[in-house]
Amino acid sequence: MAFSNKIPRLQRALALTDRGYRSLKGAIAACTLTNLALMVPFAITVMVFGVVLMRLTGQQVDWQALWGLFAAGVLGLLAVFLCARNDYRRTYVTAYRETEATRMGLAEHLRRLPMGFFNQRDLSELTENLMGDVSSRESLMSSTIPQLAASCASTAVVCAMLALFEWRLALCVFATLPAALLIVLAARGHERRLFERQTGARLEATARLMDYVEGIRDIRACRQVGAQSAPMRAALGALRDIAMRVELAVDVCVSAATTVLQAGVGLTVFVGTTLLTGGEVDFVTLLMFLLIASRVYGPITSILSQLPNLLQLSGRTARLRALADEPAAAGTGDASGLGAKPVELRDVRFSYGAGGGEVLRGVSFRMEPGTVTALVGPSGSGKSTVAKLVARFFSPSSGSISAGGADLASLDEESWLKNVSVVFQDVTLFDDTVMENIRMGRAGATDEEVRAAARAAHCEEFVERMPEGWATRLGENGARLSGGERQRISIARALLKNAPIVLLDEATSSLDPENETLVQDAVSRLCAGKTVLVIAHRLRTVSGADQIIVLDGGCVAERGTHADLMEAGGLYARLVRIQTESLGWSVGDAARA
Amino acid sequence: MAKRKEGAGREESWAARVIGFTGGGRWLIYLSMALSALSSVCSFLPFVAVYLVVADVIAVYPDFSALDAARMAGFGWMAVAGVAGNIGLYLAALLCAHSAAFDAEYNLKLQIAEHLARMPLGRLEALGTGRVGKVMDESVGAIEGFFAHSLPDMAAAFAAPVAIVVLLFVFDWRFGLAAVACVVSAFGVEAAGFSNKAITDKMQRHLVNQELMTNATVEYVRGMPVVKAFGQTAESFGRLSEAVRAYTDLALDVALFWQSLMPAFTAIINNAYLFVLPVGIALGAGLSGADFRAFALDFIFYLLFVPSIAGALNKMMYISEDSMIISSQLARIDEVLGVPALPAPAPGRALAPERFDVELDHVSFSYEAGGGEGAPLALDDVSLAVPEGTTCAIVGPSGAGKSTIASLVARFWDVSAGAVRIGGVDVRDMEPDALMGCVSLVFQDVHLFRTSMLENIRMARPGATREEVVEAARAAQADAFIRALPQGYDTVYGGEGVHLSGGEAQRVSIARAILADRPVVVLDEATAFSDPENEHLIQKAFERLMAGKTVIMIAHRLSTVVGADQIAVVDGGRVVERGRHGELLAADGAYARMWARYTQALSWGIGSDAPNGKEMV
Repeated sequence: MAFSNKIPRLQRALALTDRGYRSLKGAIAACTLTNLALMVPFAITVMVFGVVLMRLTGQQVDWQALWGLFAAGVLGLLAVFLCARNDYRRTYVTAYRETEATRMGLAEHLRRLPMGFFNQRDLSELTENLMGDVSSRESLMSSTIPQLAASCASTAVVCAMLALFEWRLALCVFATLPAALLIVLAARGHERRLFERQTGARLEATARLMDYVEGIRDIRACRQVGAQSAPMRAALGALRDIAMRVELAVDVCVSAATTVLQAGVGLTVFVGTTLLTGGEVDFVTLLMFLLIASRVYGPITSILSQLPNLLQLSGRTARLRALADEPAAAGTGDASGLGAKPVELRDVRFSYGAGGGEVLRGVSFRMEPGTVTALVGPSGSGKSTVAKLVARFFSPSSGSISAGGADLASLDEESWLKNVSVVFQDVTLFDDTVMENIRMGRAGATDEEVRAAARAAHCEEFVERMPEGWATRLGENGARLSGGERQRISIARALLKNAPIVLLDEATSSLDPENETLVQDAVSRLCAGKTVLVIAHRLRTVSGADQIIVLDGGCVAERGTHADLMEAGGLYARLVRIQTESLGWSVGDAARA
Repeated sequence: MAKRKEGAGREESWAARVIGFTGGGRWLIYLSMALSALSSVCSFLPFVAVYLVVADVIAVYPDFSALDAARMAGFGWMAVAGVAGNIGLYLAALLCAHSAAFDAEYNLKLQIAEHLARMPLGRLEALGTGRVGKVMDESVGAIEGFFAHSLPDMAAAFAAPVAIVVLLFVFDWRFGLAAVACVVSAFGVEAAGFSNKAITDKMQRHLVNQELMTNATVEYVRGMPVVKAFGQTAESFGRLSEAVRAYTDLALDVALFWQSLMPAFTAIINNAYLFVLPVGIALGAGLSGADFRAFALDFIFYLLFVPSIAGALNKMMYISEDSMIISSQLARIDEVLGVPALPAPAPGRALAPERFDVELDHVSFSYEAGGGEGAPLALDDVSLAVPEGTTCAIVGPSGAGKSTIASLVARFWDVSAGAVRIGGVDVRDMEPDALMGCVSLVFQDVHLFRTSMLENIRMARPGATREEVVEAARAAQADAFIRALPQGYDTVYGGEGVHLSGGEAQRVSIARAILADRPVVVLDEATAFSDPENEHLIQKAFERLMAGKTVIMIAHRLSTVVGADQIAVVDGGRVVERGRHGELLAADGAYARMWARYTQALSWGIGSDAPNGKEMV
């Protein structure tokens, strides 16, 4: 999908595929043909004038000739019909096919982007790219761009023909065009700035609304309902005000330009009657120009009024291009079998984005196959980041992570991920059946295998309580499930996948007392015989780990087994002490305090 | 899923309902329509000017030097005045319309936002954030576009044919009739399309399909990290591409249905002169002298004039389409506004509690809307009394109904039977804001707003000073990490790299509750373990929040509730045991069993020798 610089400007401006660009040119040609066919009625009307006016000079009217012109007119009507049908088909087919091609192309491209891209981008913006931006380009392609280009072409043809006929009147008709264009162009910079502000205001208002909806419980609890929510009201008000200013600027500019343009009718009447009086043009010529002047401005006016839309489109297509130009994930190496080898981090440094500070500042450790490594430390110490780097959601800024000696960065992302099961706290569920949501773990797993994994993860109890059992759809992002149920589905997926490396957030296993032992049991099954990296919150859980890495401020502060670390009396020992106190805490303490 | 059109009792036409959204701006809409119609009439003035020119010329034909130059100049000005009037009035119409439209959009969005907060919480969850977002964005946007563009254009489009007919019949009714024949046959072609049931169905399906495709895209993009983790991008891509292809096919189907009708319409309106020409031949054949001059004038005028029909009628083409889109968007807005809000007490009948004990009196509740006989009960005849200033802990397995109890006290739902009372007053008899004025809520999944940390806390009590906010944050153990953020209390949450851990977010939420200082506190202890330090700090924050309050605490870890004044054990929607920790252990019932399992879970660990591990599946 990458666009090189050799691509024609129009194609690049609209972010079109090669095929789409060719069809668009075809559609423009077809529209131009229709516009030219629409000249036939004018030509015949002018000839009718000629025949009728003969009588006024004393000659006989040739009624036969009029019938002949009528017959020609009917043929002209047929021609208009056929041309219009042709351009209609071409423009719509072009627009919809191109929309499809672009959506498919972008969707295919998204597949190839590195995981880090999705973790750092606002996903609703990506959706807007695929849907909104492509849709607005579609409507411009089906109903605006071919017609506009064709109008330009046919107006030029008409202009040239009229000039050959009677240049002074042709000048009257078209003299106002440059002035009108000048007005539109002069206002362009101002409008562009307003459009940018409007886009900003719209994004802000949408974000505030979403914030409001997602935080509705807090909104209710804090009595900030509806207009009482000052940030939302302010954002909506700002959007309304800027929208009105944009409208004012655009409408005034387009109206002024149109008025100037259409004043050409008056000019033609002035100059035409003067020339007629002086005997310099004949009456049929004047009539022809009056006829043209009454109709020629329509298409040009629509060009003028569509220009602002085209300006806005350029912002949207720029976003499409930026997305298409996003580099795909690097690394092509085959990672099969590497999951059973030791994984080693060497002096890994990492920061999210350019602005943020370093989250990891030189982390090194090694995980032997089949052993458990626990990451502990205060929040913000970089525990989750380490796990995400091993999953290759991101790549280290410097240093390396290798498996069996092969640098992860050189491996194909999907190939590496086949070796890894990830059980983190945020579980993404799909609006599909429970069965399919678990089958995500391994495409092609039989229903029996899915059930077995679900049983092992203790999903069966709640799944069978659901209205349609295994065939129950979970709704948007699994809205029907509780946190604990979501986590068990996540574990079931991982069990089904049965990858040699397990990355686990231990918080996942802390639930209600009732479920806790069940889930712990499931986690134990998942981890048996695997290379496990666990982010631990409850230190007791990992006291049996083969090695404990204590992170603090992005560095490894301590490492060793539970016994080693307790003996050392450092950070780990302190954390264990705090936690023991916490576990003894109860609400009654508040009353006693 | 919300039932469509639920609660929309009155049958009003969509146009009347849409106009209703403008509220006070209604007169602006009418003014705009009038201006637009007037503008459309003005657009014919240049033709009248041309007619007058032609009349003068034919009167002196072929001796053009006899023409009165001043009169000709006058006609030229008339044409220019027509143009200026047409455009100027239309500009005024657009500005009136937009001013009303943007107001309507603003009001409607606030109205919907308010309604979202007044409906049972689960109804909003069933609607889904995505759908609500689309309604707010697209449907309300369509209403705005309708006011701003469609209504004025509609007025113009209806005024134009009237003006044409009047003009045509004023000059010569026979030519007028010919022109009307053209208009009628053009409309006949269009009506042939819109009366086709199959195509209107398809157009509706097309709109539905569009929504399906959007949902598929949202899911594709949102699920991409997971899909990649499980190596299933191909399959996920397959689902999306299926939706995209289905959309294209139906869109082309709809578009190509018009592939003959639209061009036929275009061909007819652009060849209106073919209707006038035979009439002219028939009328003019036998005439001579002055009669012929009069005839020639009319004939030429009509031939000059009829092309303008095309411009006037083109706009009409879009009206039927616009109204189709607007009524389907209205239906989507109704899906949201039609969800009944929790009933508010009648004005003047609202009560306010004077003491703050909390009581659940034989409460039953079902999440299924309507709650018919067969609907599963989330709570079944639950009674609970929490005296003022005491703590009641609610424990039980997940799905037992613990969180439901908390939601009912906050009146996120209404009970199906029984009553929830604060200080003896039924929560349904309190103004929503008055109820929230005596209850603080702390949830396990906290939502922080995209605004400064200061405002995030202050929203609990809008008038609070900065000092009071900082004091609350300090009490909630949140002061230290907030100060460590790049701009301290003025750091905007969600901005460049500003994210908080779950434990930190919960402490912000506790700070809100401390600042609000309400007599009743409903809190949901987090399920997930935070880091040891966070855990410790949250507990200290809880202590500050709960001091002297009536507390209902949803507990997930039994160690937390050991000291509670009262522990209610909930299972299967019923309270199965109640008492203090010691009493319940002694009773050796459900609680005692939970306690035993809990102490066992505490000793669990992960190690490569997998002490608890069983065989792999």
